[in-house]
Amino acid sequence: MRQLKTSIVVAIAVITGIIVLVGYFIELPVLKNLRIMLLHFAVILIAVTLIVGVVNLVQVHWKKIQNRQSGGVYSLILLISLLVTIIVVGYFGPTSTPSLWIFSNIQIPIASSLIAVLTVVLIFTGIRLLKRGFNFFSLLFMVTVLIVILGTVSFQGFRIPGLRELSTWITHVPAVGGARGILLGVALGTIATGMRVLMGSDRPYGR
Amino acid sequence: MSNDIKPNSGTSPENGKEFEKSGEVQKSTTGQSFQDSSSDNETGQEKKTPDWLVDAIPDEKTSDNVAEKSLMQDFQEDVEESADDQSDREVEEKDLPEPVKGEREEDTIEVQAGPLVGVEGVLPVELDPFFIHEPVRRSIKLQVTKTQETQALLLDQMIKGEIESQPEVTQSKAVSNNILRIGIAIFLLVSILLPLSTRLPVTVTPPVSRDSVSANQLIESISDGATVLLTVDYEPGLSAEMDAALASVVDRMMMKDFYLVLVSTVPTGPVQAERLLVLLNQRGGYQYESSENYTNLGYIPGGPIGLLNFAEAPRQVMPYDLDGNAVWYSPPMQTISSISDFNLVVVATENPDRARSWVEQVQPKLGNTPIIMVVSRQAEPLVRPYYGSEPSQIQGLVSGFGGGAFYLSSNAQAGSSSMYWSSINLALIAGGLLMLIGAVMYTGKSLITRKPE
Repeated sequence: MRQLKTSIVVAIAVITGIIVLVGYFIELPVLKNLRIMLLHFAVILIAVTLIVGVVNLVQVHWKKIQNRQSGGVYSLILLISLLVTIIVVGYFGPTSTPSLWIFSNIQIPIASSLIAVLTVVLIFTGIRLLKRGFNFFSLLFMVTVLIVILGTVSFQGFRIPGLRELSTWITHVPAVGGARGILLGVALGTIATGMRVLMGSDRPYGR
Repeated sequence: MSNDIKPNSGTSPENGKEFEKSGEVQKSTTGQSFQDSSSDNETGQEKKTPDWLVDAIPDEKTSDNVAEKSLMQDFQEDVEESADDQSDREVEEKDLPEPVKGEREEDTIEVQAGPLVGVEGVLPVELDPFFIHEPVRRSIKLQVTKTQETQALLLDQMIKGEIESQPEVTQSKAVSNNILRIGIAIFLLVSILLPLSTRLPVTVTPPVSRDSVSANQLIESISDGATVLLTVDYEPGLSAEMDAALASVVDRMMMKDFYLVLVSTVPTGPVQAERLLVLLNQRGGYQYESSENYTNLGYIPGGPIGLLNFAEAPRQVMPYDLDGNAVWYSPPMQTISSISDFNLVVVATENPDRARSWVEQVQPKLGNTPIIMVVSRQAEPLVRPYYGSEPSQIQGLVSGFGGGAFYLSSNAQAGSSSMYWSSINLALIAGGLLMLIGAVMYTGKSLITRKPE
């Protein structure tokens, strides 16, 4: 019985995968409609997981408050913020002035602050980079960072000859070469994983 | 494996323990033979039995008969009981889960001969002599190659480094680190705020960006009032850079009176897009209104799957705008039935993966419709390969503050990109100088303190 169930699940996954994949290469109206329907199912499922995530978040933080765990105050703030945002956006609409006010004056400053802190930490780490381990690679890393940063800027009346060209060469040749390598690696990995799923040897949807 | 078990029914057995397997000698679990001669046993027993125990032994003839009878009786009772239990057992088996049921069926053995004839579920008492052998000796030495050994050593060193307790950071050290952090923050803040407050021309116009030139030429080549799909796919944290870069492009599109169709694969994207249009309306004095000049279709869930779905059937996937209006029947949208009907697609993202999803899932469906990407400086190296490929998968690239500022300057305009360009330049110089000072200082220190080997 269990084997039968597994076989059915594998068959559904393989057939779905093949239909979506074949749709990339063959333009048939029937196939296209079937493909759109399957994609609709997937999108609805993913959208539902978003709701499940929110419900889970509320449950976890509600339990924290109930059990009077440490950091329960933050959980309370989170739940209140969530509730207020839902009420405001739900009542006034997502494009209304109050909704945009919440977004512009609370969400963006908080998220931007985190990035700003990251900038300070990165410079701090850059300063102390050679303190920890002084070797060829750390030196190469530091020199590359400085060339790219100082080559990017355009300062009034001050220009080191060749620095901008070197900076552009680094960002356009070695960096892009590395990026292409990553993209090719990702593509090959995706093909391999897709083939494994299509052949039923990899079952990310269950045992 | 034979399961024929029967008591020795030849000449009367001397005791009830004596069994003989057909064709071979019955063995106990240890493989020892239980067969012995009755007479020898008799005399031997008399000889070996101590005097004080002789009287305690009952008469052999009578006792043996009684033992045999009682043993046979027990066997028969067991057989009857097991036959009675058979029906109950069948019922129980039905209730058992599948895997256990299978295992029970495998273990069930029916005895073919002897007093246990017909009884199921009996484990065989004999062991097959072929199964009794010395255990296979396996080498406990791990077979590894040189590379594996080196990698294992490296891993070991890494783990050891993590496990070893680090020397506690002294209070004075922690204070000096905090002072350094605060110093960096203040230095950066001054560098950023100085050009903004004084409007000093500390920097020159941004360097020529060929990618921005392509994007600009493309937008200029499209006739006024065209319908453009604009994707706002960036997180709020990086909105300062992305808003500035995207505003340069959208401002130009608003000047050309393009009809904008807004979508996003980020939950906060639709609000970001609204906010950007409100800002541009205020700054540029435009009167862009929802439905009249633009439509916000909202959030596309599902990442790459959602994008593919949208590219396949935009009308079916996003039938309503954020306010719940059916938008595809309004005049500017009537002509759009597939994604290739848009005149231009502009994707603004700080995430290379999202850019990749657009190129992989949507770009093949676009036909002759060009696609422009507005990306952050950090995502540029990973997006550039799509721009540099032949034929190029994206037709224009505007990256970060620099790209946005150049885009504005090429149109003889000024905006947030050019306003922040001086600040970002001075902050970059400040950061670079701080790192350079740190590098020189610590390099010198390590060269001085290095012990000669």
